[in-house]
Amino acid sequence: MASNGNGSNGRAKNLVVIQLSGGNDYLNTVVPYQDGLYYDYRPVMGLSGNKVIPLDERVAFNSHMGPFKRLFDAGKMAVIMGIGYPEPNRSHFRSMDIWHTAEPEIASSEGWLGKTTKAIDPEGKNPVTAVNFGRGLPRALAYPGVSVASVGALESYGLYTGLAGASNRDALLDTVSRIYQPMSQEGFPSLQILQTGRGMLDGADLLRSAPDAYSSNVEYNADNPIAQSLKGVAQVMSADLGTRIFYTQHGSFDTHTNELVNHAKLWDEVSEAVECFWADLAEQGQADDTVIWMFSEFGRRIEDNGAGTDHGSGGVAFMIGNPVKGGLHGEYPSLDPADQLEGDVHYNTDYRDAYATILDEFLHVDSEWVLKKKFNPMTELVASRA
Amino acid sequence: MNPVDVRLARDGNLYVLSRSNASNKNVRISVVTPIDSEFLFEFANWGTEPGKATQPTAMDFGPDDRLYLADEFTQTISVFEKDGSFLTRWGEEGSGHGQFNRPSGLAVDSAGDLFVVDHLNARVQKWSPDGQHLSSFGTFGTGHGQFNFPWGISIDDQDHVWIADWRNDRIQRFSPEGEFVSAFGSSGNADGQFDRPSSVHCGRDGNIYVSDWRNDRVQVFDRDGTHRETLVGSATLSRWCQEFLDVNPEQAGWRENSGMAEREKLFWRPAGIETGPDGRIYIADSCRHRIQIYQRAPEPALV
Amino acid sequence: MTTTTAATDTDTALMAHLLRRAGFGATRNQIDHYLEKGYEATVEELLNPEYGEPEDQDLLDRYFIASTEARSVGHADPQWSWRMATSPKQLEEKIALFWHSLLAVGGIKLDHGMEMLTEIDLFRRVGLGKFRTLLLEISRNPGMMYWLDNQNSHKDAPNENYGRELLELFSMGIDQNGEGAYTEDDVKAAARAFTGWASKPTMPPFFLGPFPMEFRFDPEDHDERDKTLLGETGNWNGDDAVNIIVQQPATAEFISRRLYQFFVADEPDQQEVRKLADVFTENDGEIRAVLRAIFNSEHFKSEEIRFRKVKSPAELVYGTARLTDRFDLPDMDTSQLANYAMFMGQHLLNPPSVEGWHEGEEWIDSGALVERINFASSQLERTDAPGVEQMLERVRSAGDSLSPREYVNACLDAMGAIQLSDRTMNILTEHAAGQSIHQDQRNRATEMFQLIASTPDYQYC
Repeated sequence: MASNGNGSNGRAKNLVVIQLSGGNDYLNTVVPYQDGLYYDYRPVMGLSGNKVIPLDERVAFNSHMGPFKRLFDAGKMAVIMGIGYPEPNRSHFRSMDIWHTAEPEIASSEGWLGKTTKAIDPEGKNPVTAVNFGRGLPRALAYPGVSVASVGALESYGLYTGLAGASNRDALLDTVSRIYQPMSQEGFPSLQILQTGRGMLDGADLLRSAPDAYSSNVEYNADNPIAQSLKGVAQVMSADLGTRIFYTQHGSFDTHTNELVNHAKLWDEVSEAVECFWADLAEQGQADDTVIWMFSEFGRRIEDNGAGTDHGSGGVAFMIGNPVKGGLHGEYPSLDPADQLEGDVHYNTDYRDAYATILDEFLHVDSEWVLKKKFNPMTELVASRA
Repeated sequence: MNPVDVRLARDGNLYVLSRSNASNKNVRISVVTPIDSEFLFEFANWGTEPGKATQPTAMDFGPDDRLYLADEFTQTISVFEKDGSFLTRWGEEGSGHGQFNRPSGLAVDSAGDLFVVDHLNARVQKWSPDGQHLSSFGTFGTGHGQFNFPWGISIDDQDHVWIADWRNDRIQRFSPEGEFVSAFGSSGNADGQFDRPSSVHCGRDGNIYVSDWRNDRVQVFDRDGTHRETLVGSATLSRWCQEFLDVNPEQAGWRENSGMAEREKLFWRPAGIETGPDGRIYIADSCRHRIQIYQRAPEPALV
Repeated sequence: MTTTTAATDTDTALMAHLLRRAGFGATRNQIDHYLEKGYEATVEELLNPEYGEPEDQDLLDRYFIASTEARSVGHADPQWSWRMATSPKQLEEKIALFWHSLLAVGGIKLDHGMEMLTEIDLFRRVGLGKFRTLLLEISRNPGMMYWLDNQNSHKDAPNENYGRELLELFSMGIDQNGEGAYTEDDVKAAARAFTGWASKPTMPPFFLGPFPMEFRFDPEDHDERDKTLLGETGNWNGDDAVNIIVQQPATAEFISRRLYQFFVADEPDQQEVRKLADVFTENDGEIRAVLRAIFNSEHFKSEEIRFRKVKSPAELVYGTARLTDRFDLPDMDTSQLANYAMFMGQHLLNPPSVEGWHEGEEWIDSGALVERINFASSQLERTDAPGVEQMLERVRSAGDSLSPREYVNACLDAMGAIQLSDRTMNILTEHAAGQSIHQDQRNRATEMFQLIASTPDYQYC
């Protein structure tokens, strides 16, 4: 596990994860707009005409992904088609777990990115090596001995920021800071807890100060939660705190009903936010060292239910960044009844191949250690190094 | 996603009010056609701001086709046009004059005035359609005219007020002025007994329908409180259920294998009830995520 | 021992200790109530809760309608959250929490909130009784059978998952070297004894809500041949396997050690554990008897093991919530409590694996500590909560001529007779001596409560 998360040029590499929670409808994200079967199965939900933006003579983006088309045309976006895992599980929770732990067969409590964080910072020296934007730790980031800061909003991160009453925050912090000093103790409270508290206070100071050092001409939409999360990512990145793994999520993509309206709104938000973030990365000088990874726990049924689509399997993931070779990767899975898997598209790319690519090719972390097995990095996704 | 109340608009469309837990934000009023369950539109989705609903409990139409909605979290009554556009809301938390402590039931009388069950204050409040507090009646207790966590409310064609006195396991009837008239029901699971009645509905057929919530059944009475009939649920597969099973073949397979066909038909915590001019009875089957529809004489039609 | 005894009244401190361990802790007034009752009588009251549906079940179901038919763990939360925050039968909830982590069923794989709640209720019902009964019931529990793949265990192709975890994690345990007092052949024999045990096929939950899961034994799919399990040979069925397993000395030892770690201290004292194992054996595996022996032992009562257990997120959340005593009717805050525990790393009804949660210091990483301190301090600023009112009143009635140290002690006493290490005590005393910006005595006391709840010391119970 000797690795430091640095790239071949010696500069630290950043991974930004955007989780599309709820099960993003693959077929209405990357639309097989020339396939008659698609329209047969989707009499209500089928997208055509000005509802799609063609990428080639077979597939098109949803029309609410205009900014993605621009990234795609710039050659910075790899669209990984038909990604999934064997024996798909259609429960949100279980399937998300499978993506988080990189373990499709057994229930595991260790997250692949938590383990990656361990590889990058084995002794846990930096309390902000991995930062999650959101409340509560996604299992992807859980790993013994790894501390991850979960940030709602950077400006209000830290202790006592939610207090409404008369308490004097500075006075509280001052005393708490004196208590959490790693001094030799006789077990109560333990040295480890004191050290953890010290790391917590230092990490909070670092993160809260990040917005101060940040300036940008990019304007993120204040009403778009994923845009605000990505702005936070840009702020932490620009503050150079040593953070390598950034985790965000957006949703809910669980579009059983009213899909045409809801799915469109979600993609408006995501694609607008990612385009802003992309521009910001360039402005912050991070574009060459950052990879964005977007996934969802599953795709949805091929056939619509009249108002939306139900849980399915097989999906699409996106990898975006200067280090990425853009384009369509893999075959669009066939919609032919004979090729379907219980009413879903058959996956044709194992998601752990993509993880291995991120680990080996971009983060330079030993994927075999993290994933407990050697998978096949998709070297065709790597842009030739300039 | 748990339907708790159901109302027919005069144009024949069916309004279904759903709520959920605090952390699950599936709250809405859905509007569908009652015959073929065609989804039309939805409004009053989750939120605390005006035009939204957080923990909604009941709704009713006024004579002007405006829809009133009670919310026990925001402690307000919201008013909507029948197309879902929000007009206004009023109410605040408290036990004083015109304040609410978890409004739970709501019904409009023939003059268009609102009766709101203010359940933790153990009283019923009367409001003008524009939100002027008019009067109230009821106190906490078990005696006549007293309440213990009352829930549902209905107003009959003589403007008598019927209340599902939930924790007292009885139905109480009041004059339009709030004078106690009569009561029926006691705790238990025999005919005419209740285990936490959630809703009472004065049917267009003259019957009194009571959702006997924890007994998972609906009991039908005449106006004297004489038990006439008990419905335990006879659901068939709705069009939406059938569509779901069609596109989810493995789930359809599980259903086939489970051997629970009879159980599937039964009510689970029935709540709001509505009757239509055509003799149909609509019952919000709150824990089974559906509306059960009966055709008054002879057989249940569909769900 | 480095703790400063805040409560000069040692009985008070001891009662507080008992209530933190056998329950989630108590307000100072509740401690007084139990002091009148006496220590041993309190132990007996805790050990003998009358099982049954609580009176307020109808209210919970009414306000949290989606938890009545909990499809997922997320829907089920409010039900247990409310009990842990309010049940007067504290040990009934605490023992459910104990078994929930020891006989762990992962809610995510099961994806059936209602079944998870059924299991918690199973632990309430038989969790203090004979271990045999509990193990038999959990082996017939459809959720457990599904979770550990026993529906895939057939006469001619036994699946070893349940047989293995039954021995390794649920009864006999393994030592640091991964060695158990059983062999791989015993695992195979146990697996064969449980062939044909499964959960019945059930309705898909996504479509009309959940239906209760049910257990099914299929004699056609049960291996009727002789099996040798832990030295005993016969045509064993699952019931027989449990009967054999619960009589093993290793089982007495393992369960006693886990009880010790949950109720006494994170680090087991081998001598004490052995004593408890004897009690377990002498009482035919009755958990109540082992706990009685624990709570009445001089070891448990000694100051040495006070604050030797890191609070789990549930203990921190519900302990602090109980201190505020503000949960009189189920509302949004009730379900929020479970979310706070999740933010701190304990997603109730969804243990991370069949091993349950790793207790002790592993609970505390820097992300969890932020959540712990922010949660506790924000609860204690609710000065309108009856429990906080009560605390303020206690500090006020201690007088206005207290030295800084006496003042901190008065606050500690008001928070349920808790204690601090010398070093923390000194720093808080300096804080109390400093120029307070608060003219208002209530604000000054609230700030001290919040500080105490922010200390590393408060992370222990």
